[in-house]
Amino acid sequence: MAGSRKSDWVPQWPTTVLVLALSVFATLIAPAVAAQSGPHRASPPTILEVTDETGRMVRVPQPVRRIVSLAPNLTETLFALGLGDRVVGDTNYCDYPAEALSKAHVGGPLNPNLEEIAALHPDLVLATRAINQLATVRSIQRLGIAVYATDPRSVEQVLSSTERLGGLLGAEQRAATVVADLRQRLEALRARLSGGEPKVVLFVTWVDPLISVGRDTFLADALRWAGARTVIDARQDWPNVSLELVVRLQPQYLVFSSDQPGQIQHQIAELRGRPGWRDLGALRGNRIIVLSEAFSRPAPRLVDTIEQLARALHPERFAADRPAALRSPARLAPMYSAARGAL
Amino acid sequence: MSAPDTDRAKGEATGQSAPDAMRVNVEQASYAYTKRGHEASMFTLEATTFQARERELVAILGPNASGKSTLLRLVAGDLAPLSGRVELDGFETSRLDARTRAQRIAIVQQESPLVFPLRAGDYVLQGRHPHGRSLWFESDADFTIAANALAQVGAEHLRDRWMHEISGGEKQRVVLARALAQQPLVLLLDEPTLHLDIGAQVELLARLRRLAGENRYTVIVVTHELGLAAEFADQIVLLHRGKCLRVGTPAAVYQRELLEQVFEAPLEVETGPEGRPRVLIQGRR
Amino acid sequence: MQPLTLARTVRTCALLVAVLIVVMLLALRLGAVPFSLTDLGQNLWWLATGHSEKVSTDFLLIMVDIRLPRILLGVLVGAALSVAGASFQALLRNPLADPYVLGVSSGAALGAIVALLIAPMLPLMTPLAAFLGATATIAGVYMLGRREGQLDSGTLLLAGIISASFLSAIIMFLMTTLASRDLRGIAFWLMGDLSTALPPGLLWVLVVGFFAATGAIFTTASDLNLLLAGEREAMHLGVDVTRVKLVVYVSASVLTGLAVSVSGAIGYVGLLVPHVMRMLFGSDYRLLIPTSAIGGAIAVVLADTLARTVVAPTELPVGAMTAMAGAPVFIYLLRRRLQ
Repeated sequence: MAGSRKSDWVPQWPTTVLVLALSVFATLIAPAVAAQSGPHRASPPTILEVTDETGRMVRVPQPVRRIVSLAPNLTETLFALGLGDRVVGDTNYCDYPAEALSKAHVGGPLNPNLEEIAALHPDLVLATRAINQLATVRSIQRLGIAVYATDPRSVEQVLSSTERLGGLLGAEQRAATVVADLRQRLEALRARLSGGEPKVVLFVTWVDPLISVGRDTFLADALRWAGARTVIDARQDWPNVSLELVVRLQPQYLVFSSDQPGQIQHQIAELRGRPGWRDLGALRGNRIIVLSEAFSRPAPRLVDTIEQLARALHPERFAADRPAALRSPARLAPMYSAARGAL
Repeated sequence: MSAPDTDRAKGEATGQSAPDAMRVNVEQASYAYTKRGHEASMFTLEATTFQARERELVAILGPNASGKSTLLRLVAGDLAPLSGRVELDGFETSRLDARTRAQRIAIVQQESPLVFPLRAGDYVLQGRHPHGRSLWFESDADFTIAANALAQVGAEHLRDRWMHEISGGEKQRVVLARALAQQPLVLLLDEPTLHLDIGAQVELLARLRRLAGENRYTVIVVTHELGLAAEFADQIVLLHRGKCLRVGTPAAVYQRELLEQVFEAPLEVETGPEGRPRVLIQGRR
Repeated sequence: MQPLTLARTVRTCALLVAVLIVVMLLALRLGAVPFSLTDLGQNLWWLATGHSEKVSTDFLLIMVDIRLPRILLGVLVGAALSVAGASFQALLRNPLADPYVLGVSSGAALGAIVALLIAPMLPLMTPLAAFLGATATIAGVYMLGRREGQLDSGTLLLAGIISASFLSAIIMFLMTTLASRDLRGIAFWLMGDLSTALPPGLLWVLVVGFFAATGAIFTTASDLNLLLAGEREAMHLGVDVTRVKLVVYVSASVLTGLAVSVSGAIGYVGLLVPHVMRMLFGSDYRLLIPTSAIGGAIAVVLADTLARTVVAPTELPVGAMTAMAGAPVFIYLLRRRLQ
């Protein structure tokens, strides 16, 4: 047997030296590579430094010609401000108005595709704290793209947020008009409902598990504007609620918000048969209100749905008016039932 | 530690067998197992003395729980004696580091189950580990030694077979081959005949006897098989409940009263040809 | 039976590295924004030869800023998890062990969540806190997993499983009771997600950490072979069992901690890649460690490429992809083993 080959062994010394050398090499060329991988964009003519609604400093290039929106409510707001043609990209879930569906999609709000966003060369990306991740915002920023985030926690903040966006994007006039009109309507609503008792409602975000809405959200505030008060008082934004507690408190109305009324009907029918749920007076007495998805979006249409909810809860305050002339576009067909309606 | 190598070299150079050197020296060695925190010991092996030379097969004999395995672990250096000394070629065995010990002492015990499939050849090759370094790959010399080890136990045909597919007896041989691949000076075996049938038992002991002579090993076997020990051992260390009752040749140790006391069985001792004792069982009295 | 030699080890690794390079090029080419091979080649050549001004801005932005770091991260995380998995399988003497069985990933997740709650605005906080969480878990499980002063596989496994459950319970508690909105993203992170870009310095920390820990494990590779044939036998063959177990435990846990801190708990890679490599190249750890590393890199880069292209522009978390691909592979391996 040719047994003259010496023991093949990887000597420990050279291996350690190799590993150390690799590490040193890595740390040395790191700055060089890092320098190359900085943001690669042409520097814009003017920069406007603003603080966004989450307290971050954002350097917005002026003028803003290309916008990517990462949330449906932001897309709606942009269109409402007349900036629809500046929107170059939005999410898969941006469905209002109809033109939003034809824009380039960058994915979902929680995990949008960075490459798509980068390829659209936006001047500004809009995000909102309620739906988007901080990590996403940071990743986009690292590419040298400005990201402005909103965080409205009340109806008034929805309006002021819209104003601020208008100012940022050079649409102050339009924003002022839109917001003034909305404020007027809200004031009129407040006057109409003054002196009345707020109705106790349970806003149902999700059924299994039962999730409602917390007191610091714009939704809770919207309920207040509509002459209602949420039966659950929670600090969390989307609290898991105990059905027992709800049954004990017996809210006067159940409120849902969805653009798929058929599905909601189906669900409500199923809930009637469930133990616990069927003990709810609101369910038995058909005091159920289904609003459109717009009620869950902090955008101009929110006011429409607040008005609808107010009508449904306090019909006696609206008796003098003509029942029609809702300001919502035809696409929305909000379904609501007054106490004697059939669902 | 070069003493044993030069002995062997000396023997080979002069062409005549050097006088068999004393390898293992156990002098008044004792041990006690204590449970942590308790003063009283759970089991004590009392002071024991014996020596083992090259080419000698020693049997540590006794019934269960007599302290045989404890004594073996003392010889292996796994345990340090509470009193007395256990030496290998003049060095305190338990003070040597694991690697040095593994280069000189090979132990055959009940094997642990394998987690991943392993071929017999690779298993035997593991015996070369004490002679290598970390991060090493085996050399041709190592492969040769492993192959020879398999040949010495008559298991070359098992080289490419999977360990979990071979029979108990075949596995025994492979485990022994691994011990041989270590090229040890001392071979320790703990109850190697436990699951073997009588034919395999005799074959194993005969092989050990032969290897001790050919490779100049010191073989120390722990067993409770009276017949095998008598037939194959040069020296017997008789243990009973932690005490060493007698050390000597089989003829000297196999006294009827002594054996009956130790093994608590009705026995009769005869002398066979070549002066080796034979033990007979008195079934009905 | 082929004896394992240095030459064969190097040859096998070289082959796998070649496969890895092909996969990486594929990953570079595919994505929401397509690049042709010639584009790719030309731009890479310009970059390499110092003509970076010729390279298009789009290429730099998408390739160098987004895709390349993500692919490199995938390589590192895949390699780290596979080496950790192979090591734990040896340490715990259990073919079903994966890097998360000792609770390191739950500890890292808890660290990340606490960071998000306390200081969501600091970018480095999350991976750092995650790594601290991982380290604390390593130390804790080590304390629990000792028996008579030494790491005992059975005890260690139990300690790890219990710690993992306990930490997961705390995580669930925090997620349901706390008000912070920033926690929603954790769901993606828990599944394993490579889409979060890292500060460049962190990537290099990962590289150094990976090589140091893997190197340490590699030095014990032949000891591990012996350990697997029996702890007592290994000791009698000269292996310093206590030291080897400690080195492997710490290094493999560090690898897991590093991987999980930056990309969440990507599943199945640490469990399956070592088994596939064993099937292809044998159980010798001197070959298994390097091949698992490269194989893991290949697996994660492939999975991530699929995750970001299969339903573009939506991105699936890479952990979902490894689970979908991993489950059938696991079933196949299980059946083969039973035969």
